[in-house]
Amino acid sequence: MNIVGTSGIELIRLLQTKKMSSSELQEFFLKRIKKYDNQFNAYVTTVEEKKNVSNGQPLFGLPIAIKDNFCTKGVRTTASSKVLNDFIPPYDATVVTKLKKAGCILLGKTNMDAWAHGSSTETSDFGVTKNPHDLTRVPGGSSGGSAAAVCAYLAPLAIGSETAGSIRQPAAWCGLVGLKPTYGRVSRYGVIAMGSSLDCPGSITRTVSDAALLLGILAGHDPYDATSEIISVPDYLSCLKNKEPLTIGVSDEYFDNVQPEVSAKVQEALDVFRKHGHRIKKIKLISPKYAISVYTIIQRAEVSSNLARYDGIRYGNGREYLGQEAKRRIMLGTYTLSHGYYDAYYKKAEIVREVIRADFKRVYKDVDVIIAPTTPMTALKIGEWEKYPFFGEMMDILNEPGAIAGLPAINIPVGLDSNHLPIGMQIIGRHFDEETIVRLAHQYEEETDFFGVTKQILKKYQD
Amino acid sequence: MAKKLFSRGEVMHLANLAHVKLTEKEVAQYQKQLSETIAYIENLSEITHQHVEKKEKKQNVFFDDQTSPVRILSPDQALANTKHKKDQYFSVKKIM
Repeated sequence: MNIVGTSGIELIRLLQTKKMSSSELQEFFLKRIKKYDNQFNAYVTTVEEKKNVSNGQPLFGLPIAIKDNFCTKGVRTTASSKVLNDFIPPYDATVVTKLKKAGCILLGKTNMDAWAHGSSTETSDFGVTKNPHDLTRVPGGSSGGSAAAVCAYLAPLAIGSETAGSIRQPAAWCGLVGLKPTYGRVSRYGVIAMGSSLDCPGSITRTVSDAALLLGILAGHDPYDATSEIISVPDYLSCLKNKEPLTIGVSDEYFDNVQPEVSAKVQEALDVFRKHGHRIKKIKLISPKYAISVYTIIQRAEVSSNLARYDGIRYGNGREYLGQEAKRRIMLGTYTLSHGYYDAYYKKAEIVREVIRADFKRVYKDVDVIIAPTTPMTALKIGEWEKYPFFGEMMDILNEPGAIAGLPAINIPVGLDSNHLPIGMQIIGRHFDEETIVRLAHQYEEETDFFGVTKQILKKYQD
Repeated sequence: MAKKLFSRGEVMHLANLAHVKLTEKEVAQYQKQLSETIAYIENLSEITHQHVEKKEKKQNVFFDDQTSPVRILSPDQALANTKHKKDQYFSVKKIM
């Protein structure tokens, strides 16, 4: 039975009908990791230990990869920084607890930009991850290991985290579905903190249904995360059937400086929606370039405070192990929070954050979702970031406004460019309205099968 | 605002406040990069904000003042990741 490329939901069906056992499936992926991961470097740690699962668990023995900034009890967790080179958490993040309870088996921990600082995995202290579509290119980041693993089917699905772009951008560059839920929808407890007012756990999957399945398991209030909301969790899988017409907002500001090939594919995708009765409406949003400034100030400030705890006393190595990117961010945050500059930078950024939030609120009176390219360009070559001042922010520019407003968004593949690299498009929804973005993404998948982007790549990586 | 240029002394001061050690090369790099970033984020002054809707009301969230048995670590668990311990304590440098 050739199961390469089989979605999570289909694998669960195989497990439940006893066509395969959970340990066989785990073995299948561990073998693939052994065979292929020396090419990609998607995993920092793999887990070989076999676990028993019981019938009745919704994920019934499904193997999953988890980004290495989620604490996993007894399994090394590094956030891809040598500071945490040998840190073994004594507890699980809430996301991990929920996955285990649902019957998931941890395959391994995936590579990322160190502390999630970056958009290419090149800041990882464990080496860059390579894009399975082109090994001379980066997979995007910071959840680049999770994206590469799912792309080459070294895991059927994976958990990532996003502060601004870290799920959507690697999903776009690897041709996958990347779902960043609303801030507060999924608990941050046990996630190694980057920007606490922004961080958001989510998923990278091959299908929208898998994203809906995972969100249903991960979402919900957690008393251990004071910013997780007490709000009901709908059945995301059953809402996929809804095909009622929607009003889709499109803002020219989100097409500035976007590669023509990327813009063209997004326009074609809009035509698909038009054909199925959805209405496209021109809207005007504040230019995303201001979101870059807000994000830079707030995120660096939160980084400088969050990374202050790494002193090498209770766990981990000392601060001399911090990499260049972490140091740069800590120092900028220290500066913008310091006496005399706080009002000019941090306070100003908080005000403009409210302006951007209000701007979205205004637009969502007239539209149900907003559609935009996920990234201005497709995957860059390894090392190319040096050519771009502000590299990370430039690659994430179209993700940052939604992230600082806390909005949910999903990336879906809409085709390939002339270098055969995936192009991603994002659907951004209202606060806590993941239902609508997921069902619209699902309708697109049903109509186009993502033009084979997620499937064709696996011809290169057969078993 | 006038263009801000970080002096060597300012970068060293920030590094000192943030408890990070820099090489000579990094000091020069950060002087340039921090100045560039500050120059970019000045664009926020272009945004006027007289008409912002009132900030959504935020509220404090507190735990009950009791320990959760699930989250208690034994001394061995708490000390398992440290490289600096003496008996059942973390050992740190003298501060006085």
